[in-house]
Amino acid sequence: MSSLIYYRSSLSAEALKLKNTFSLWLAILAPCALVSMYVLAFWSKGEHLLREGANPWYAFAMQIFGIYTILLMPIFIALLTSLTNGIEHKSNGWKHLYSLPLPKSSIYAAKATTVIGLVLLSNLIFVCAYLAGGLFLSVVRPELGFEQMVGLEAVYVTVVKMLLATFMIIAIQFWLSMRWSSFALSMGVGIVAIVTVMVAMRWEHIHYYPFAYPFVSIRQFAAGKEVIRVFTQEVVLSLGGGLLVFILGYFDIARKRIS
Amino acid sequence: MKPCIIETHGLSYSFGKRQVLQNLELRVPQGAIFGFLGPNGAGKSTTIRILLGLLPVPEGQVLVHGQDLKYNRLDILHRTGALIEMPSLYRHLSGHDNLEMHRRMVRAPKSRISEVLQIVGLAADAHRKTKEYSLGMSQRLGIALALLADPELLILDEPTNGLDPSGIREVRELIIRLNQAYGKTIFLSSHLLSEIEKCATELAIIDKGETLYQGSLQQLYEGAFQSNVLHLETSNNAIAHKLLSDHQYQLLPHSDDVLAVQVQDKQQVATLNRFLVVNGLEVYRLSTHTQNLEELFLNITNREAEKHIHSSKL
Repeated sequence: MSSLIYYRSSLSAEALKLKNTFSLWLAILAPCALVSMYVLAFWSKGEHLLREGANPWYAFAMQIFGIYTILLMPIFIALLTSLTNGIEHKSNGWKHLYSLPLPKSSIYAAKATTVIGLVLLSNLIFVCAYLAGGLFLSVVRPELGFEQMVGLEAVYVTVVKMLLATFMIIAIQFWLSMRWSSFALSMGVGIVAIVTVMVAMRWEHIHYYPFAYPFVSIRQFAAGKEVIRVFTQEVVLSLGGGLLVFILGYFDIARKRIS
Repeated sequence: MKPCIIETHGLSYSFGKRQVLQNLELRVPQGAIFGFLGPNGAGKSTTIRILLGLLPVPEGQVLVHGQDLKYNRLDILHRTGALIEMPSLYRHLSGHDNLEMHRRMVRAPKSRISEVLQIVGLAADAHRKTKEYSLGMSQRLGIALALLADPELLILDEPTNGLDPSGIREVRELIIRLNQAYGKTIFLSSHLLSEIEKCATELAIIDKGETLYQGSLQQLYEGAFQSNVLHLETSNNAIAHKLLSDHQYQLLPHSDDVLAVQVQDKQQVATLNRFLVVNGLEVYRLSTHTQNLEELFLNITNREAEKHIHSSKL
């Protein structure tokens, strides 16, 4: 009971801390920027990006998902975690936080919730931007067929899968950025993730590689198969692995001496 | 004897093989401004980190507010405010937002924010971003943060570090006011002796992790050291010596042509001079020599005077 109160007070403080920060804007602007680039692409060259008879909403989603999962997601998460924890590294904040009458676990949990919340927020904005972009295209390029909104459930389910599939990446990056103040480390790991996923994309065991989970999670959608099941293998692995990393990360952080 | 708000018993600490604290025995009485003095690297910061539960207590016992730190960390921290070196301000937020964020974490009532702003004199600047604050203002905001939960004990680690003279003065006056008007016990660490000298009521001097002196400032001056020494040259030192010692003046051993007398204040110097003149002696030279805390401190930490303190304490 009291731990819930501690957690809530830490969390509301974390929420206030986000005010005027770049990480909050990043969470909002990154998906908008991505979607608007593809809106421009479809606006000018939509006829080349659509196959005859295919659902334009799927084609639109697929283009965005590809870049989102492989390129944007790893960098985005690295940025978010290192910015969120960077606030503390920068302002001598850990010492201060841990000398407050709050259990270490609630501080950790509140930070983790903030980062996960930001990723969740950006995914919500992503869906909104996607819908808005499609509707905008239905007005400016009516011949592309965007006015018929059918089968969007598959897109929603895929976004949920994608979000859950990033859980382990969030956990790893969160631990790295809490443990070390270096911004370069987080970014380096993010870039290595991108390169390795791109290189090993066709490897038969790629679905065991944590940084490839988001990419694997959209494969089904990409192949045009029916997408109903959320908890596919990579999603379960990501959730399980992510939880494990979060817990181990906590024990590592809690044991660290603050100097 | 007033109850102690901080008590350490045989506190030792080492980073790997390097011993940082050895058998530290601190007694911080309630209601005091306790100066915690030592050169850089003496173990002050380590002690403070232990007091705040940032470092584990490996050996010995630490009691804060009469509770064992090992088992009551959160309770103790509830009643303790701290400012460690530079205050950890979130530069992208205003002073008010920094306080609000902190308030949420310590669960203080909302009205407390304007109260602490008033106390530290930042009410007018509350809505400016803290990156525009001067060092002195930042430091005062740091103290405001520490005050939010209305703690009985404030632990301030080098609060005047890096401030200009007026900033130092502002902070010092604030510390004294917090102690006198609000009854806070203040644990003040510093390597600036002049600072401690100006506001502390009790002090401990540590070096290389060991306590070299602990007690009131008064005692330090009076008991252990020659604080005010008057040097005298007269037409007949032998007679002067006899006269003075017959009249209960405290004579200190010195060279033949100069007499050294312990005096309390300026008035006594005048009295002494008149006394010698009335008794037919001619006074050629009267010079006072004040040994301030700075010199005491250097003496103590240089271990020259160490034996002297130990013997006089016993």
